Amino acid sequence: MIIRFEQSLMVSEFLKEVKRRYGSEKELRRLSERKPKDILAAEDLEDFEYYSKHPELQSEQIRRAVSVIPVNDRGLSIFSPERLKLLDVLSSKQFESIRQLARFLKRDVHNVYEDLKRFQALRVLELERGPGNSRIPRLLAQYIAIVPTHWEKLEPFKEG
Amino acid sequence: MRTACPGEVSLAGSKCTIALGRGGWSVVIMPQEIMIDNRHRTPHIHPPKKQGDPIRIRSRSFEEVREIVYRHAERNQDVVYRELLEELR
Repeated sequence: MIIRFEQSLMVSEFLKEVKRRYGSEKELRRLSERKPKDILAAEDLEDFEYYSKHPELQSEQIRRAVSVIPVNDRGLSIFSPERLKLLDVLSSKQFESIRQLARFLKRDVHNVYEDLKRFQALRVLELERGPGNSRIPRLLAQYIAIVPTHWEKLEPFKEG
Repeated sequence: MRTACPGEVSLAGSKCTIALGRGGWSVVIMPQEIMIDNRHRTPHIHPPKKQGDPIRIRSRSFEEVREIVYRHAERNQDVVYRELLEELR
């Protein structure tokens, strides 16, 4: 089985997202130079530069997905009722801070922050800088797909 | 989804980041930092953490490459670069 978080966005949205995430093209370039082995930042920079030079591609669609592989107990733990509720709430409401979100969910702010960090690492959401030290959680994924894999012939279950 | 990678958390051993666009595709496997892509025309694999030159792999569609990675991860319960390379060659 595969768990896949999917996002589809236009090039113009991608460019905005990169600016929002890194602050500016300059900041992204600086990060990429400071951490040359950060392949994701390098890719973002490469794409950002390419699309910035090709305004005619602004309406091109980019498909992105993050798959959790292999799906084991730890992978499945992302679907706890609290975490699913968190995603559900973020898909319909905008919060100005993690504290505000935690209050809405009636949960401890630290636990909510840990869940958000987990989803952030999976690129399911991003934590945008807000006023002061606040972070604004923003959902990126549009779909969560659970894909059963039928690659191998099914083996009869044997107990013990 | 490709974004910067602060405080990488591996939930299930590995995770696979996939992007399609710019007339090409890429599959990034974290936290091993293995990248497979067909940018610059021919499909190739970048060794973990970009240590070494990219190695050309057999021409396949994005869906085929993705399935090979998924199968590999499911079979090994992890992603082993050397073995994956052989499967993709």
